[in-house]
Amino acid sequence: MREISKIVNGKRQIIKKPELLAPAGNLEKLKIAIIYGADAVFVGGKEFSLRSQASNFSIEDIKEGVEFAKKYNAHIHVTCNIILHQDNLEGIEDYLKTLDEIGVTAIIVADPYIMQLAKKLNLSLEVHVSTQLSTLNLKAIEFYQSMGMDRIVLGREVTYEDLKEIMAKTTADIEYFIHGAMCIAYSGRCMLSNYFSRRDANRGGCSQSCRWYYDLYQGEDKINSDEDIPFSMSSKDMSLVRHIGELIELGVDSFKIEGRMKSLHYIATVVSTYRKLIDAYCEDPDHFINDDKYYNELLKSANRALCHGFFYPHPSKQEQLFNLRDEHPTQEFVMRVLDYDEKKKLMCIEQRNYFKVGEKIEIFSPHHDNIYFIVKKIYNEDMEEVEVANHPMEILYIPIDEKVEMNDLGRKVQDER
Amino acid sequence: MKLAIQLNDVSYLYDYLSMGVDLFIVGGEYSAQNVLSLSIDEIKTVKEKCNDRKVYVLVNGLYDNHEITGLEKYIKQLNGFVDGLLFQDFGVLQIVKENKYDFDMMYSPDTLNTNGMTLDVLSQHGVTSAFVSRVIPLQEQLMIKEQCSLPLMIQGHGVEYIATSKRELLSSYQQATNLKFNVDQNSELVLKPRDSEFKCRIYEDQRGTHIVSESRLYTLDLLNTLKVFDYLYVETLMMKQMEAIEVVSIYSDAIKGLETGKYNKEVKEFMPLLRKISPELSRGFLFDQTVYKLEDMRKMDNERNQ
Repeated sequence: MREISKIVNGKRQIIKKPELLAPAGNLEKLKIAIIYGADAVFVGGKEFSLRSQASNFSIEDIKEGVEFAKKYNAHIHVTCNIILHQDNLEGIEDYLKTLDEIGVTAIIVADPYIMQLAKKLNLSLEVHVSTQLSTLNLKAIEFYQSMGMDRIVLGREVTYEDLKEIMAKTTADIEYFIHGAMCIAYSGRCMLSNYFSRRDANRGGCSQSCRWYYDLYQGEDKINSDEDIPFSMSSKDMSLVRHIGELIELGVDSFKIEGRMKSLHYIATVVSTYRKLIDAYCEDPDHFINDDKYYNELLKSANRALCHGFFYPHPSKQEQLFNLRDEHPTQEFVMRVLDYDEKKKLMCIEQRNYFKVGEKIEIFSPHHDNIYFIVKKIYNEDMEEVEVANHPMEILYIPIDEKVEMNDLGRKVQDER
Repeated sequence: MKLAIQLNDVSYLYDYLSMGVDLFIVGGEYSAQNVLSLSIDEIKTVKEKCNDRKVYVLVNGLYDNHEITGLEKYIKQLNGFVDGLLFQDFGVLQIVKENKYDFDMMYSPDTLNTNGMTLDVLSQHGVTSAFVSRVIPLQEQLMIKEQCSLPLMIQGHGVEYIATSKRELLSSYQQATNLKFNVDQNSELVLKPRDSEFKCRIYEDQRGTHIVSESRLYTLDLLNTLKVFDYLYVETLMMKQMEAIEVVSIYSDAIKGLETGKYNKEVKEFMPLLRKISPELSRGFLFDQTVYKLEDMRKMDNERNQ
């Protein structure tokens, strides 16, 4: 039985706080994820990892990531989740040994050959069963436990009711997706990309064919006319932001955010929102009110409409993206704060996207509430006044009365919320 | 090499038996991509009629936790008279191992059996045979056979599995558009991507939405190479009864030809017959490669655009 909470000074507090596990496609995103509150970050290596289109990590990058994470008492997980083909077997043993030596906490694995190999090598790192294996039930969990696996990442199809029973009965460490894009088919069992574009989904080449447009035919007769919405299998993204309390009370060990190919802005926003939400709930679960502020914050980084996935009830047409009208506009990420001079009330920033004098900016941070201000002046590195910031990565100075911190991020406010 | 088929009509069982089919795969309560859904008693009757031939049951879904209690009872009922189970959820294997049931446990995850080393690992954990992935080239399938000690089945003919979603994608689309059409397996719905010429079949059942190829994989003229495998499987899903009977008959004769030394001559007569019976034939991935490395994908996209 998992002990989730206890009474401290007459008030119930959560003592089993879940790990917040974030994705990262490069070192900068890894560091931002940790700074913004991730307990662990998962990354892909150059070999044996899905998402070949993400800018995957070299061994040196992973090593730097591990060292950075240690300073924050955080952990690095490395995905080794391709389904091996005959020509992919070479080098895997040395790769796993190297990951272990540089201090990686866990590898995420889909192929039983790698599972067994990692255990045979007697490595210190944990072996986690990837969601690619679509584990949905206690018996499958027991099977992986019998193979010595340290954690099971459940399939996204697991409902709240099933999760409740799983958590009540299993002794295994359980990871559950709380946010991100959803595969439309069972993970690891989808060959749409293989057939439609000759790209191997199970080795990282997925062409996201489920998000294409299709026509339906009955025999030779086309069912949908040109005026109809075309058939698509595209799903809204999942967000369990309104159900975090329920998940914490079940004792889920790790909350996973999907999206190794997502932007720095996305990762910072999503990680920061869930960090603050989890911390607030755990502090006083019985008086916690999950108001719209967390959901609204997530919308600023969303690039698709959000839904609850399979959590409950069963997904219907509401959870599908049948046309682009459901896509949500993304707030534009414009700056990263490098420093703040309290005396001069001047922040030094790195420009990321175009903005100009007169525009409203929202600064968000892992440590303080969001700050809104109007850009009154912009100075370049020579302290010459400029009207627009239009050179990516340019160092600029902007006056702001309220105190900001290094690594705060700024986004252009497109509408009042 | 033995001939295996998915039984698509019990009334033709004796025809298939007389053709020499060695292994019948039948659908039941917990099956996915099944043509029939036979009750336990019906499966028992099939087994009795098959006598010394083998009967396997498709227990090949990915099962929600709330299904497990029912699934355990179901597998218990199958124990003792069914020869094997085709499965992809390791929960099924765990149930069989825990109860020490006596089935050939054929690991059949459609997409995952892509190397021999992994199958050898799984053989240490209760897997006793395996269905080789269809999305790899023939050369790789043969390498798996060379390396792996387990009995192996390969698909010889029929539509190929592409994807399964737990969602009711067609019903949701109907609700979004108010279009009216049948969504079941017999509806002959064809799905065509606007960005590709590839066509596939799509249908819904109680396990969600299933997508399979429109064309039939064929290997009739490759049996000299494929005979190293233990089972050649003919997928009868999406076939009309007469097509299934004729296709199975041709493959059965061809396999007999391998034994009598007449195959090389007879296959030249069989191939035109097969083309006549089957609407569209394909080689699947037998002589094709998928790509996954970024540089290879860019190269392929450039070639396609040119």
